Amino acid sequence: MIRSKSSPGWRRVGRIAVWTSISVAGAGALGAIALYRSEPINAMWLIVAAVCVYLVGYRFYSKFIAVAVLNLDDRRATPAERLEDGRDFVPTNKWVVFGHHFAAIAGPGPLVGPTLAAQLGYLPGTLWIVVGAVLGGCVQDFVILFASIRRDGKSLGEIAREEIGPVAGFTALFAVISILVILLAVIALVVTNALRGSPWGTFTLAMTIPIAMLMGLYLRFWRPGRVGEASLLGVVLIMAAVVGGQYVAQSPILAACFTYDARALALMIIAYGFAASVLPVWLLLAPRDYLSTFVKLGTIFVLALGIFAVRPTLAMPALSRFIDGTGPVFAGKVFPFAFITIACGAVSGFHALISSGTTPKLITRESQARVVGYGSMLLESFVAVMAMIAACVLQPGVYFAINSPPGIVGSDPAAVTSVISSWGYPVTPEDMQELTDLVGENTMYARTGGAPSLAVGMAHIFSRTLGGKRLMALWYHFAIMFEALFILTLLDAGSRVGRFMLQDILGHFWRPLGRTSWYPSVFVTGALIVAAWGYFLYQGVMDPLGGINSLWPLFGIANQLLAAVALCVATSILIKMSKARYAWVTILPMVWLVVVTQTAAFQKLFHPDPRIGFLAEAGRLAGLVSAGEVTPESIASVERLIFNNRLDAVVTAFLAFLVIVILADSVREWIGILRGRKKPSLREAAYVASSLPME
Amino acid sequence: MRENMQRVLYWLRILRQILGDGEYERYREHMRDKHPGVVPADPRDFYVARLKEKYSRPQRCC
Repeated sequence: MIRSKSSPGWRRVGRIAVWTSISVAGAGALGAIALYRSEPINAMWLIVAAVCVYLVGYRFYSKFIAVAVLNLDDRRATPAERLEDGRDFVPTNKWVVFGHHFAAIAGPGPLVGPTLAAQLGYLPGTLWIVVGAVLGGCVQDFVILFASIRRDGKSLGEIAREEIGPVAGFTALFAVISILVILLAVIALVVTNALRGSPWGTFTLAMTIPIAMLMGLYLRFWRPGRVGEASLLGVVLIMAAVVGGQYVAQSPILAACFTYDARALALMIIAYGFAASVLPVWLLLAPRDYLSTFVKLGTIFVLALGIFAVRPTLAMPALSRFIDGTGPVFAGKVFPFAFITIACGAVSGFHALISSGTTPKLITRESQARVVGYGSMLLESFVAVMAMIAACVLQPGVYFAINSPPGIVGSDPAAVTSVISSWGYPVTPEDMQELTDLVGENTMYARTGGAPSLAVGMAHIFSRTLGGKRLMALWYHFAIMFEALFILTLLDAGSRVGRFMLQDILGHFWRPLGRTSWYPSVFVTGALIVAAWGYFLYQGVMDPLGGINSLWPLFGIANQLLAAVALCVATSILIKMSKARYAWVTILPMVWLVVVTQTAAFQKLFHPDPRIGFLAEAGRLAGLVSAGEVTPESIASVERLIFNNRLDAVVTAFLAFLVIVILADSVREWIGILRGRKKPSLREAAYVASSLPME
Repeated sequence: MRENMQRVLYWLRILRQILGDGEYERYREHMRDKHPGVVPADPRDFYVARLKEKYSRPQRCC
């Protein structure tokens, strides 16, 4: 009411005052977390800093991109309007599209990455999450979404082929499949490590399979398409499974049925992935996806409430001693490894596939690409900040005891705790025993992969809001279920999509292989994809250094390389739109990502430290063999380790090479256009005026 | 009071659509408005066909 009475001039002054105070508050909070070192700080400093930066970034930077760089035009009809078919292309309410898009981009990445990067202290990761999102990740998602809207919702690969050339297009497709395989392997490894020796967790996750199938039958036969009802039913059942898991864990007979080592779990997950990717989607994949979306959105909301209610203090220092590159979780210095360990949450190339997938076909107005593309990524970045907070509320000693592989700290409790305490992060076997009893597990040592320590952090926050220590075990297993649920969903969906991509490529060589309903081809290509990620998963399980140390950086490099490719495509489009003077908007994050990933790839290949360099590790092991220091029984497994390290090196080199190819192809094109040698030919769909009523 | 109630209902409807409900209704509306002569698919066939289309593309991410 007051607003409508005040004059426009005063309103303007008021707005300026509000935005000035948001900027000052954000800068103040950022400065405080960066400089304040004397005692632990409250998590709210991180929240305030992040939210203020997001608000300023959204209000000013995304507006600048929308208006000056992309010239979003609401009078231009979007594909949803022009090509409306009631199925894929449907003009949709912008908040529905926002929800869809956010649910699609937010997966385990922004939860696991920050948890692993917490070994460096909260500062490097948090700064990268916030700044990387505002200047990089959000920009990528936004510009690619815009590009796809202007091209009838075409995919990143198609856009790359049309705007850069066939070489770039084919390379991008190849890069996507490789990244998919590594991504699926590493997240499967995270689940394996979270469920290893945990009957409660394994039972709960196993129960999601029959629950999802029940939902599938419900949605297929009883109440077709009533997703809301079925999801509610599923959530109730899954909560019952979390509670019931406690009784399974306490019963000696049942507990034995659900207790497996990492190797057995990995094989089961591989078998499951294959089954889920060839079964009809309505039976398992789709209902599981609905369930995981429901649980994911709910849990993220509850975690935010919990953090605001508890306002926990961060026990982790701003910078840990491991910024020197000797960390137990992953080896390598802050630069470049912090920037590839946290991919999702800051910049994630995978988002470009979503931004050029379903979302552009639903957008009603071009201007909505701003809130959907830029805005959703800000929210994902916020999820990553919350994950960082959840990891840093743990005592550092406890965090390191959970996340350090036995290859580094040993496996005897007394030895592990004394090694970690000697790093300056005190922890005792009694602390660990108390934690283990509280969360209802058999052991919490060496639970690498990030999921268990994140679950402990979340349980810590939740139980301080509701239930106290009594409910800690329940909250812990709820958090494990939450992470495992959507990781498994991603495994199903990813294996299936990977199979389609592979069929698409192989169909060029022999047509029947491309037929997605021809069973021999479905089985062969499905098995190929699952075998590919399954191999890397198995390798990770057998790795004495825990697997995460080698696979997570590989995934980070792959994902950031895809982001570099997406930003490269975006830059080509800006230059062709005669917006070369604003091309720095995408060139800046692209150059940063190319530098980060090429440095990281180079170090993973050639670094003399065997924990960082794949070739150095292969060489060290080969040296042991030739010096006769390996017992005859273990010679086969050492030979396999040598082979795996060399394989990882080849994959890393291959990915780095792909990006150089795309970059070189693009730069050649850009120079041609900028020098006037080449006529820029933008492949946008023709302009059609919108006939939808203006809002 | 009434206004607040309506606002809550509006957001519940949005949430329902985010979860994936109401696709069939939308399709029926589209068929009624744009293709009045054509008999639309029944809910079951539509649901299964839609799922096949949806899950052949990347639509979940890390």
